Amino acid sequence: MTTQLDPACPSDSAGHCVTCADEARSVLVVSLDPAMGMALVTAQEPETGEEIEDGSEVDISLLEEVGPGDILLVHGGVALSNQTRPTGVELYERGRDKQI
Amino acid sequence: MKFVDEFRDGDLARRLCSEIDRLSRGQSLKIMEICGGHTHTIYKHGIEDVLPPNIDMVHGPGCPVCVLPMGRIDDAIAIARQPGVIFVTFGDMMRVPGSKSSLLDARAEGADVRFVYSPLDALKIAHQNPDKQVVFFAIGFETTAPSTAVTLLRAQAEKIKNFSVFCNHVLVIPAIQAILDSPDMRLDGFLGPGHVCMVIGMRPFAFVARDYRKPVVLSGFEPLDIIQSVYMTVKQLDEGRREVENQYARVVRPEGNLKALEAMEKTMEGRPFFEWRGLGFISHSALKLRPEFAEWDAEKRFEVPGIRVADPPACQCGEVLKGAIKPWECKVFGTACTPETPIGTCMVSSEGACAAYFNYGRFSLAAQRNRLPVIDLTAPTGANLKDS
Ligand code: SF4
Repeated sequence: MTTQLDPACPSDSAGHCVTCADEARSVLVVSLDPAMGMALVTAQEPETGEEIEDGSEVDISLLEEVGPGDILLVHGGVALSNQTRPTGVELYERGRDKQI
Repeated sequence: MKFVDEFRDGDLARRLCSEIDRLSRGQSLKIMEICGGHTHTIYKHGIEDVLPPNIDMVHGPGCPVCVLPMGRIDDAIAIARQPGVIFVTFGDMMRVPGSKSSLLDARAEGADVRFVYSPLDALKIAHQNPDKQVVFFAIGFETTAPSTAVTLLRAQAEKIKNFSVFCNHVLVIPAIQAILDSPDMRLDGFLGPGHVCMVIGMRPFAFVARDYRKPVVLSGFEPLDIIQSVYMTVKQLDEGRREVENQYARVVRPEGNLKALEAMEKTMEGRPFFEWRGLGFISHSALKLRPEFAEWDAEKRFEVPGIRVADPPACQCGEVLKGAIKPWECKVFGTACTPETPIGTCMVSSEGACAAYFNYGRFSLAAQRNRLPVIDLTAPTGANLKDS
């Protein structure tokens, strides 16, 4: 058994700091505000699956397509990856593979 | 997380470890995990305990707080102390020591220092405080730089004049090259930083396999991701292949996130040189704002001391960051340097190798492996170290 001491740099409930870890967190899209390039999301505690955040907003301007129900990876309030939808490059490559 | 159990299957982990054992045939192999998030998973889940003893995980410079030199912290504190400034930072930076004090000390002395989870929140603070200058302390690798870029583009579009960015973003690839070029370095392979790769893709790592003949496996963050990545690295070595492989294909796309790269390209450009704590000056290893964004550049708007500060003489963070020594081999580890009283940055951030060793009791494993006096693994780690 180990005891966590208070590090100089605060960490989350999973024991680490999202910025220091350069790590993205997974969120679920609830609704969209396309005019503002934002989405309302909920986040889950990775260890327990328990909902830890309700109704936070993330920027979706760096994603090609987003819809309610999509799972995004977010870092610093900005979504960097849509785990639910393929990117344009992937769609192009699938089409190219079919042609070949 | 819905699938978390799938990535923590003990039986599968043990099977992979015995395959690693079989393929490595007792050869001593050093594999560097570049990312602080990986270091954290390795310590938290005791991955070093289940890997064969000939596999040595070397902890790389992937914690952005750990690599920021003290002089830049002093510059941040100097900006925060200026009248009329609201200085906004990620929470991690508050207690990081500069040469004389921290941002938390500056706040206690009256500076308006606030912490946020997103640079976009700093922009909101600027909206709410039109009579103040709001400065965002931007740190982090390529995973964090896109959020700064998006914020700058919004500040430009919304013509927000009372907002600026103190830019300290650093780049992973030049740091890896510096490590590979370091004469005291002997590494057999790398685990690539999964979320950085989500932004930059796979191609920037090609030179490691091509020019340095080292395998690179881009890795996820769950325990099985890491064990599988070690397996893939050892398999490449066994088969004489040197490639960039993508273990984290559920997240990393070969091309990365093109829109994020475009946003970074529009707002930031490379610095000719930047000092990394422990690694020294590395060329083209950090970002600054482009001249088109000069009016949002805190380094142009405020006077900063810009004085280089040497690390404390007892500090061996450089050797730890290059993987030349293990954290517990530093002279002050666990005695003068603890998470409560950090001397070096590797003890500051919870992602730093020294703090992780200290907090998760890896010190005792290291002691056993090296036939040092064994410390009771069942006792609270802090008690072990304080008593030793
Ligand atoms: S123990 Fe402290 S001084 Fe030594 S390397 Fe680790 S952080 Fe640096």
